[in-house]
Amino acid sequence: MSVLEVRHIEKHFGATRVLEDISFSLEEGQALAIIGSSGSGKTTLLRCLNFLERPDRGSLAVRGETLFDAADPATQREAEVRRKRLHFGMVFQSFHLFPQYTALENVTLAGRLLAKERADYKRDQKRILRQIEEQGKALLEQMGLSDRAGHYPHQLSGGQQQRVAIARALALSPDILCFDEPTSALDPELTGEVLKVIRSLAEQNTTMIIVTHEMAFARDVADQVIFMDGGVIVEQGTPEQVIVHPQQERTRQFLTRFSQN
Amino acid sequence: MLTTVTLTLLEGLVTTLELFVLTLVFALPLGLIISFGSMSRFAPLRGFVKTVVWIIRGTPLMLQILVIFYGPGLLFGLPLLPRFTAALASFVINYACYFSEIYRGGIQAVPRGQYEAGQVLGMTRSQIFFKITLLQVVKRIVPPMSNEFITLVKDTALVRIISVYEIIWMGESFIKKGMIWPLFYTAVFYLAVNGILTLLFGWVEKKLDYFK
Amino acid sequence: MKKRLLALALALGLTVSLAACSGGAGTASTPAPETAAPETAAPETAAAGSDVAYVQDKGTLVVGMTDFAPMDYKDESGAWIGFDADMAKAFAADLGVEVEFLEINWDNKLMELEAKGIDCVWNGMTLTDEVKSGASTSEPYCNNGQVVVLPADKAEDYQSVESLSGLNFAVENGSAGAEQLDALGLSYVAKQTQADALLEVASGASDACVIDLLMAGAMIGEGTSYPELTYTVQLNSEEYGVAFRKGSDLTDAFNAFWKEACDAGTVLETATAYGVQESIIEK
Repeated sequence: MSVLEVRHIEKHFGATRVLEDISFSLEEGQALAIIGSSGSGKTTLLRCLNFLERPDRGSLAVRGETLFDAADPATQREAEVRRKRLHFGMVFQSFHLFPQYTALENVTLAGRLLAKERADYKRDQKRILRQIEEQGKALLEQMGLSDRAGHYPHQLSGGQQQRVAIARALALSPDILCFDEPTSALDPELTGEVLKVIRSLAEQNTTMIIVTHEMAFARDVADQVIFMDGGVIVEQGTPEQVIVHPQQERTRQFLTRFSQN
Repeated sequence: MLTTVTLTLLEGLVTTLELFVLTLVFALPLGLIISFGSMSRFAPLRGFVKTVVWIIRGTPLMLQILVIFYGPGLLFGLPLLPRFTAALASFVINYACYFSEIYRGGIQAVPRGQYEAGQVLGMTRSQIFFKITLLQVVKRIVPPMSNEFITLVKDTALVRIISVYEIIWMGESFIKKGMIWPLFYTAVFYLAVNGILTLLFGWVEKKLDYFK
Repeated sequence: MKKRLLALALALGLTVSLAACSGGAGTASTPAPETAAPETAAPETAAAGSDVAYVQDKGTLVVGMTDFAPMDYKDESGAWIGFDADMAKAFAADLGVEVEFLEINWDNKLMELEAKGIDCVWNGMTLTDEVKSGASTSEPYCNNGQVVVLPADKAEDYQSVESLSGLNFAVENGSAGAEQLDALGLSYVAKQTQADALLEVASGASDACVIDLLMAGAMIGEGTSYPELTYTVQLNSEEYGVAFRKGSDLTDAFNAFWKEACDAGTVLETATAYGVQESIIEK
């Protein structure tokens, strides 16, 4: 069974249709790269998965559980959205770290707040918080940031900030980790360190969706590639099929234009 | 003579400070409520609040003091509020409107991404407000608030038009005895109060300097 | 403190409703009777419900005044004394109520009266047209005039009205003195009080000022606060009176009281104590 099933998603902003009949599925441990020019709807698609936008049509299910179905109001209750979001982790283009917290606090904050909802929190508070702290430190170490745990975001480089943001998203152990152009806001010399981290996550079979402009990276890391244009999926398949030997004219044009830039 | 004058002025300063402190006590929370109103998604409420804020910010505080004190008696034949109460009410309303605009600016200046980052991490609305945005808002509003506080200290001088005997009134009362220096001497007290405020705000700003 | 908080809550409620009127559809929420209220309703209520009864009911006569020697000023202990203050105490006693002196902003005296912030203005107030039309005024009880005050060493050059044209004047804003200067076409700096105007001259900021004769008599010249000043030209003659709310029956009560006090010799006795016996008008 797929981890994620996206069925016939459609989304409008006013009169503009930004997503049209988007369907795909994702298998456990796979990395999906979504490519396409700006305004093709890639980011909106990610935001739909995270409930930052509500699709007008279609449904999405994680591990067989329908999280959202535009036709079924029972799946849209505001109170449940918060929990449903936790199936997904989100790494934003411009990091959105919390400036008043240290790197470690950024990673552990959400976990500490969620822990308060646990039944055994009162009894085991100390142990739980220590556990969260340990996990946060381990994640930062995994990101190569052990020595930056006590730094505030403004004291970190863009690449370091994005790696903290990745650790923050991983801290809640999401089923699927989403990246929204994770290197687009970075200086070129800093993209490498972030891509390296994502690559290592892929090697550990983390289930991921990566919206990216890094074609070489997508080709190397992704198990599956989707090319979007004008709000529709134009082509999907393995990197070999979509990036190396695209079948569609629009895909070819995009890739040509892209390699020229 | 200096002692007599100082004591008399201190008496006025007590009234000035009472007005200052009580205005803050009521106007700071009221301003927050008004700012929520002016950002409400319910258009009629938003329009109403914005109109009130426009009227209050668009008319002189002195006029508002006169209207609130004399208005009930002149327009409706109602008994007047005690003078200090009327002065306080005018100040609370006036400053709450100014504060609300500062709050609104501060809240709206927090990037949308901060809310979204909190949302995708499964935080509730109140967790996002208290754990993420509040401190960022506070940091942003400290400098404009420090301006408003200092202006408020000086604005209290206006209430003498409805015979609330604050420090300038006390200073002026000496003119009738042929002494003009007590009036100028009041400046020392204003400077002292605003000096303390400046230090206080400097300290707060420094405290919040650890993040950007 | 509790009272104050309660009053504040009331104030907030009231102003919110005020703001509601002004914020919403202003025209719809202001029906005609309300707009007419200030002109008609207030005197009617005063006449219908007697003002004397109102004052006796609350037990205090609130006298609006300013610090204006020798009519109203404070003694060493901070208590109000003066010719007007002492007579006001006697009038309140006659009504059977306590007297309360309240220093007001002189510009607002008519508004204070009408809004019932005070019950009378009794403070060496000249009976100008403005006062007579805006309030119910007593019969005059004191003679006064507006005089020009300047440094004694310059006085001999300015003994006639014609000689005044080159001087920079200071005068209390809206006072009888200002009216005189306006009538003569002389320009001036407007000050908050007559004392402020005097100070302008003493400090050299203005060449001369115009103040009440009574005040000049008490406050300038040898043995006073301003020994180096003197007064020269008297610009007019005028009279002092007490102002009550429009249509108030306190005016008649005052006139009757004054006549009695004159007959009993109280007026002359009090006036003599403050050196204004030359000016009083006995009935």
